[in-house]
Amino acid sequence: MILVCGGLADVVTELVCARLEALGYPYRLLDLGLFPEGYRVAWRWAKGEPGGSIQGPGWKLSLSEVSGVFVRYLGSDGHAPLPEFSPPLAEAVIAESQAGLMALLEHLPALVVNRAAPSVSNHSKPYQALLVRESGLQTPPTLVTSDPEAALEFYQQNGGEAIFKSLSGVRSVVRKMNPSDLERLHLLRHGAAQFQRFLPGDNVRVHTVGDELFATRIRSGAVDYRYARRQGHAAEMEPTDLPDSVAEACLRLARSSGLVIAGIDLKQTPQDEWYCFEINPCPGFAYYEQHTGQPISAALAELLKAGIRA
Amino acid sequence: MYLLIGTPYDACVGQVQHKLEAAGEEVLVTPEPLAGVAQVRWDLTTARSLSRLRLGERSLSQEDLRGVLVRGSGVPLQPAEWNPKDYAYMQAEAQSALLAWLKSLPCPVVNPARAETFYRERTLPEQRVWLARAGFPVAPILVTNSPASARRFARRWGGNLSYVPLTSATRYPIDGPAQWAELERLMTRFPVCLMEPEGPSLYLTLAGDRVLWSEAWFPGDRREEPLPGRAKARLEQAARRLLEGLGVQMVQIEIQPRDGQARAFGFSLYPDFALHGEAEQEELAEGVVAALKGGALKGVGA
Repeated sequence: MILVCGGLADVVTELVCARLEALGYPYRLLDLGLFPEGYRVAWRWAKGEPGGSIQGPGWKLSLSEVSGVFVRYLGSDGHAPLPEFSPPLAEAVIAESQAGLMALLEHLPALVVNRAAPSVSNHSKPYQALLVRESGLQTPPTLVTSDPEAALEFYQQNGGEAIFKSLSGVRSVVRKMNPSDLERLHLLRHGAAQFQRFLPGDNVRVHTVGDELFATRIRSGAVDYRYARRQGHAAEMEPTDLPDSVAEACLRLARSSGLVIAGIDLKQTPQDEWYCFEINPCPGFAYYEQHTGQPISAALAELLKAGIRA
Repeated sequence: MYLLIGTPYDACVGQVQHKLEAAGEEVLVTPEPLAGVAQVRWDLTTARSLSRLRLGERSLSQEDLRGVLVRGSGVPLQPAEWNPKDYAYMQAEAQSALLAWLKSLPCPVVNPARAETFYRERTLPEQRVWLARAGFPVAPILVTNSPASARRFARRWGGNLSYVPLTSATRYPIDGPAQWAELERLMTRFPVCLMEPEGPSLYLTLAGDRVLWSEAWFPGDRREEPLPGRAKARLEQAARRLLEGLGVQMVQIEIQPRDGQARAFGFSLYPDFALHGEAEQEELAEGVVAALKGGALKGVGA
């Protein structure tokens, strides 16, 4: 049996459920938008392995029956309101509920897409850049600094063609530097920031699902195509092929990161150089599948059905 | 030069600093090595990674660093200057920069810079899995929102339990009707994590090649030798397997002796040296210094 843990308001979770329905693969949904309301759980850890059951609306599932799990944790804004609590307390209640599930899935002897431990590299983009290098992919020239002079030098060395973005996964929007940003460089004394040489070319998003790979080319004038509309641009998507060496390196990166599904952000320059920006452990693949028809969710459904005993 | 990330008020940092300086080594202690009074410049490309720190008057290249001890997360120290959301963002940014920079260094880093240990202090159920796999005896844990399941689980301990929230380190005894009523109220909101009732604890600390036991404290401030030597030796072997499995050089395991048996309760990758006496703290510091110098772990996996 497949277990899907996520919120139905989340398009990716909705797509996974729809795909499982369409393929006739039985699954149970643990709706994290409501959980634990309407669910009864008893999870026991004995001799180093979790077991037990989940009881949902009209069903009961023993954890020993689970072959594969797909999970997308929700922030407190993805959960049904808890008006009886103050916002910080409601957040704490939701966090405590999800922490129990996370602890369970971390060592459940089934395929889990994705476990938490390998996913946390996403909290540090330069840490990921080091993993990217180890996998054989190129990383863009990057400066991490809290030194205003170093940042100015980097900007000038690159002829003003530089971007900046957050180091962590928080407020992660890519922006191109412009001369007025130079006046704010003194603020770096509060904390280091990340600068990269701006690379022209097409963005390519690669989704790895087990050993399968789906590459999507995105053509957009926006610096960060995810926010193209907000920046007054369009974003066109189409399936594309990768050079073998790049495809192999992407699969190597996902495997070495311990991620069953991953979204890898690449850029192909006009000189046909391929650079990797980051690897996303919780990719919003529905967006790419809807635009290109690439069967990402179907590949995931097959993987969940087959399962892998961990 | 050795860099100790933390404060001198931390017994581990203080002891390691003392040992290194006594050996004629240069030491810098700072809680925030990449910002505030410090500055970092780290150039990263596909082919190279070069970083330089400026700490006060000192300018250090990565080659100048012979070892780094990590006892803090490098977050900005003046939260009062920030609104809470911006401060949370700055914390995330500082941690991100520190983890990546530590991973980039060519010198030994204790504990090694890995995202899964840097960001996640594993919850107790997860810790029990690691402990059991290393060979420690462990008691079962239950996560449930079913009062009937909780009551059944508590029978083996005469109806008593500990409630341990997964998002905090606090433990609450459940040993009377009032506590049970409160626990059942919580279970209407979220599944609770339940385990054996708290007992006296002792700590087994590994730092590099050093393995040391704290004293056990029993009610009435009695100190006892709670475990026979053979049992201790078995637990030390399990501890070394845990250290190896986690890929770290420092770990502190909480052991609860009960009815002649010792069970591992949980562990921390940031050992509290103050749980040991002065002489043991110095021993542990020796172990950390050896690890900072790239010393091999004696007996690990033996």
